[in-house]
Amino acid sequence: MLKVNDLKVEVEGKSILKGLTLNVGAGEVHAIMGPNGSGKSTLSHVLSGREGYEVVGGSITLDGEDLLALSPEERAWKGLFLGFQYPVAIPGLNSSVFMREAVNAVRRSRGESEYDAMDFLAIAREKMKLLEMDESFMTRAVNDGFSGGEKKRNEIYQMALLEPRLAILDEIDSGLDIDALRIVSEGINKLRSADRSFILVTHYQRLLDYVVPDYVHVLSRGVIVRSGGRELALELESSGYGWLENETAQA
Amino acid sequence: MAEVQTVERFQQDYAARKQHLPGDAQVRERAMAQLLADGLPNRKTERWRYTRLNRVLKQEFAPAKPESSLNDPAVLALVDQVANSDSPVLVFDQGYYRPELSRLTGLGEVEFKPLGVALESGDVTLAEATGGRDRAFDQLNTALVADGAWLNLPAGKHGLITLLVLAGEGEAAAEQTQYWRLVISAQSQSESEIAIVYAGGDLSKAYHANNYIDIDLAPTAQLVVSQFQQQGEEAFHVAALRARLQRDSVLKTHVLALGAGISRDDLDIILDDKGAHAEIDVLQLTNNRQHADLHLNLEHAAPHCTSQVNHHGLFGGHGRGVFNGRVHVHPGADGTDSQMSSKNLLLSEAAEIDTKPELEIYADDVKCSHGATVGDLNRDELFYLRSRGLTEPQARALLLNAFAAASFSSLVGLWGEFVAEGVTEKMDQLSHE
Repeated sequence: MLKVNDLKVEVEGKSILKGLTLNVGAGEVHAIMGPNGSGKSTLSHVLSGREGYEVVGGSITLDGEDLLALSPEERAWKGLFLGFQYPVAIPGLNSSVFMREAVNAVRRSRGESEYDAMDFLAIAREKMKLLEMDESFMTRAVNDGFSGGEKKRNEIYQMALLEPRLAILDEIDSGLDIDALRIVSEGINKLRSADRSFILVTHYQRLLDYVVPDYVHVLSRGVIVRSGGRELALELESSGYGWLENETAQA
Repeated sequence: MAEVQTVERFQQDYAARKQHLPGDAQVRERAMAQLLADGLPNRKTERWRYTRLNRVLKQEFAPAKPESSLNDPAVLALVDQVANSDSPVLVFDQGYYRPELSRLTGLGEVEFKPLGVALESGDVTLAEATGGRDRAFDQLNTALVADGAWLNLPAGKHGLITLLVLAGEGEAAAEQTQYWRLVISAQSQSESEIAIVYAGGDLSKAYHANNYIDIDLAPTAQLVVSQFQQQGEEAFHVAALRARLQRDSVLKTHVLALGAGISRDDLDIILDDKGAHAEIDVLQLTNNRQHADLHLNLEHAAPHCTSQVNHHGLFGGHGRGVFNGRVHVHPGADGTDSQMSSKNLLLSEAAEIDTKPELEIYADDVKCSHGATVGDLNRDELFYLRSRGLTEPQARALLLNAFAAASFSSLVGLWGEFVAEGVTEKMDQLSHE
């Protein structure tokens, strides 16, 4: 479904991704791990179309279509979702107003009918239950005054509403205590399906105890240096990222 | 020379009317004498340096007379639109109370008198006008105001009280100076909310609206006062708000300035005893050649008082804004906690904002912060919304509305909706060029 081929990305003239290749099939869960500065977040941002990243080589296609030619909203319409590492707070913007507009924008792009306020309310309630969220979320401003855990839960709630085909979750586990991690992970697991794929970008393997990936990739200095199954994450847990330095030094 | 002539004109207005003005004549005499001695704001008056009045002061307007000019059915419709049928709405036409258009239902224990009546009966006296050129419009109001409202808020929780301060309609109401004053006495353990709408029905005419709000908060009183200003674009609107907060009292006040050709708000708030708390939300939305100026003077005169000031400015076309927020922490006002922010979005090349938060601190143990930003919408916020499927224009519109809504999101019910609709309507008119 998603094919990233030999992707090279620069930020302000500095090379960050140096030939990254990744294939994600329908329904698969891929974990991308790596130390700070390895390019994990850059990959998330480039996939979602954030400005400030210059693609200098390679390609990204989603179902054969060139993703790089699309605006962020067009990518969302195609079913791509980014769960932010640091979701932005927007005082004054009601969460429900925002999400109804977003869901309807996506539905419009697919030629589907828009939800009215009542339809949306019913769907929103159902998704909130999934994430053990309080109904007061709906009347609050987007992420305004939210705790770290609430913000991340809100990301998963948005994902549940938008029903993407490919969700990229950028350090969704950072800043979560164990209870919040459990709720967020269960939310992700409930949303796993045969035609929905995930890319979990994380520094720690802890998340992967809850959301068990099909594949684990280790990113270092802008390239994937190792790929494997779940056991690779466990190996990293015990050995840390130190070995990468040696391996790269030897290479 | 023009200035001398203008002062003389005001003096003549006063001389012609003073015998008919209600209440203590001495305080009016002193205010007029002060005006004659100090003069009107000019180019050198620091607190008026960004707002030039030459054009405005050239207009030879006479004081409004208590003659009704309103289209009554339209006003009654507005009354129903702004408040639920069980809550009181007081209607003023060119500064004068109009009982036949007002609704006193739901006032409950609250005591209300038209200001003219309250001044005559001695329930209330006009506060002494302060000296200085920058206070000229207060002096004028003190000298010439004939009507308005007096509200005495006893202990207990009261429902929303709405005041419609209408500029009148048609030629009869044009080219006038309209004086209006609201005096509020909030007693201990009272909890009240007051909404004020300033509106010019016939938007094309020129007039001056000179308004003054005088608030005294007894210990533990809690009060919300919101001013929603939608004067016509040819109008010159001034509104002073003076509030004194006694021990553990709370004042939350909103100034939402959308209308007028030139508007000037002066907020003077004194936190006069321990534990007092003030929250001030200001929204300035100007377009075309509109100019909105707000000067805040917040006096932390006692220890352990807290304050929060949030200014939002959104300017389109050739719209201009001026925000001057001064926080003055007096010696001995330890434990002061004061936060101020001024956020501004300029939607067009020609729009302009002069913003200046000022801190003067003469106490040691204080927590004060202030900041000002001017720019375009935040890129991260735009991207966040677009990543959820909104197009850039959709995302911009939502964010602009959210930016403005932060100033009044605490206003609820029909009143909150009325304000939100007015703001949305104005936002849609803002020119991005």
